[in-house]
Amino acid sequence: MKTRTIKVDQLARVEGEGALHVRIRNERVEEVQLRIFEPPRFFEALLRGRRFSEAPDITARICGICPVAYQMSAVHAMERILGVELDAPLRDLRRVLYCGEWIESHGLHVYMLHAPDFLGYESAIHMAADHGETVRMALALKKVGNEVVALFGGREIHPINVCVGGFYRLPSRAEVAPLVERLRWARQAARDTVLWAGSLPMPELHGDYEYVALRHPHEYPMNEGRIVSSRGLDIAADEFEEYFEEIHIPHSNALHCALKGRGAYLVGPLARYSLNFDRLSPEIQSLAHQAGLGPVVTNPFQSIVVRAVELLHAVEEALRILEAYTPPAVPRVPVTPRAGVGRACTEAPRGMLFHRYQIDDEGTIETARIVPPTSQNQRTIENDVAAFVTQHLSLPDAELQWHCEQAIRNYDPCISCATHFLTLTVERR
Amino acid sequence: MSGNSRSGDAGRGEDRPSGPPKDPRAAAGGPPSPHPSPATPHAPRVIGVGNRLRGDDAAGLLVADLLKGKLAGGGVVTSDGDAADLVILWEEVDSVIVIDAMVSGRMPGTVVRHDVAADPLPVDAFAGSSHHFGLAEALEISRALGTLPSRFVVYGIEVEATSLGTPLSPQVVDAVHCVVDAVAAEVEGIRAAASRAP
Repeated sequence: MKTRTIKVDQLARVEGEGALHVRIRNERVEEVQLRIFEPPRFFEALLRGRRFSEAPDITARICGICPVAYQMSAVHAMERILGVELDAPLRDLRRVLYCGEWIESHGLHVYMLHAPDFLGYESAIHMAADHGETVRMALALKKVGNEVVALFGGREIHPINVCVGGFYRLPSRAEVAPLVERLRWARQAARDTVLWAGSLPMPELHGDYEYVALRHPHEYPMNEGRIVSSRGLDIAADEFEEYFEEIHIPHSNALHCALKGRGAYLVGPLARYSLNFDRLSPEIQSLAHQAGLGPVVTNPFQSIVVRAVELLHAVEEALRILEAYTPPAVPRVPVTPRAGVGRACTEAPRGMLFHRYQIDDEGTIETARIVPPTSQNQRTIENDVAAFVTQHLSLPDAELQWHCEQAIRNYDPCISCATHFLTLTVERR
Repeated sequence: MSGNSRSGDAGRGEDRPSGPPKDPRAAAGGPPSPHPSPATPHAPRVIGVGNRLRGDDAAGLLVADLLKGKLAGGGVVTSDGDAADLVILWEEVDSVIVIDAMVSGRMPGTVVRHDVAADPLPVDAFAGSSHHFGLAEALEISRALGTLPSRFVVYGIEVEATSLGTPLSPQVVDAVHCVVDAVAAEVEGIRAAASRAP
């Protein structure tokens, strides 16, 4: 009997850090474990006893890459408790802020984290030497996303301008005008990105996933919608906990989320796109076709193209709203605390993000529950790595390790969201 | 200072954007300027890097906080260490001082000054924080793109504990104050030299 072990101590180019352990015995993949080490419930505990109005700012600290997603799920859940509904202009501006985060996150992942895998570079540093113009464009796109978040979120990192009921302050038309110009540049850059990503050499790997994402009657989903799946699930966000369960896994401090009675599923760009292709504009649909995508994508490596498509959608959506921008009469509606339970799902760049809060009649948070996209995808990532390793058992350890890391990066896992600190080991016996 | 009290600061005492825009260029309808330029000519941009929720990883941010009150003329900013944002943050300046947490096996609180304009930063020493794809990578991307500022200094502060919610180690707190003094002196020296230049 022979067991082979490959050790990788850090997963490079994955936000946050964590570990993957793969054990191969007699040329068969015996076990794949994605390990996450840090206490995952730190923020849920931190929220207890705080004011309902603090939830957007506290949860924004969970992740430096997707703070807006945490703010959005938090404010929507609180607004459901308080019976607050925003009118169209304020709702649109929340969508703009979310677009800024999608531009930042997808721009960074497509070019700086994922593209080096396809072009055969160890990292963006090595890629920059040969593809300077591409990296410069990536940085410029990221910067446009940063500017959107800075203008509507108050600052780029851990934005502080979102409140339950709206925003603390909204910019003037004069402040928005130069951003519109920058977004017009970004629109062309994003179109080029879609075609460029579509031209990359694409490994073949097809997964049989149950895709889960939000679906809105008219829009490509971001802030709201029903939870739907590729296998017939169709529920309200309020019903999340009736259909999904979190399971404690011994090798991980994070909780794995699964569909009750059905198991692993996948959230994120592939799921969102495949369940909502008809919600993209005809022009973007056409460009996606030109880039080699069908209306449903099952190859996780093609997620780089899907992210590029979503990058373009985010730029166009922000432009659509901001080209007609007039500051709303008031930046926020008044809110009055009352006891209750509120749940909300929004679409973080990496996938669906669920929040649930219970507050008392004075507005103090009694319980909080946060289910980030990475913990929902963890089982699927493990399954994919097992499939990929099975196909490439003959590779030397170092190369196999490299491919494992690539398979993980397909999902852009934000380990920072699920918890922090990841290292990777692959073991053959 | 406890981890919880630091975490609890989230959202409190923040500079809420409730008044008119502070950047005069934005008020005048010019391009938005998310990154403040050094207000004083020839002053280096000082960037504190870290995560306030992760114990000693906040060291660089604390140095920046203290320097903001000490250095007249601005130019002090903070970052969570995202590589792309760092590259953007220093792309248009010619002199930069960065302060970040470091894991090099030295005694906690040890301070190392790296002049990285010529030599790469030791990646391993700056990969132990929660912002993994970060400072060392950002430096090398800028070097490859030809946008690395000509004068570039990194102060690394050796950390002890960086778990969520842990308090700052006493040695790291002491080191923070030493680095504040060292960076302030370095900035003043650069300004004085620039003012003497023809």
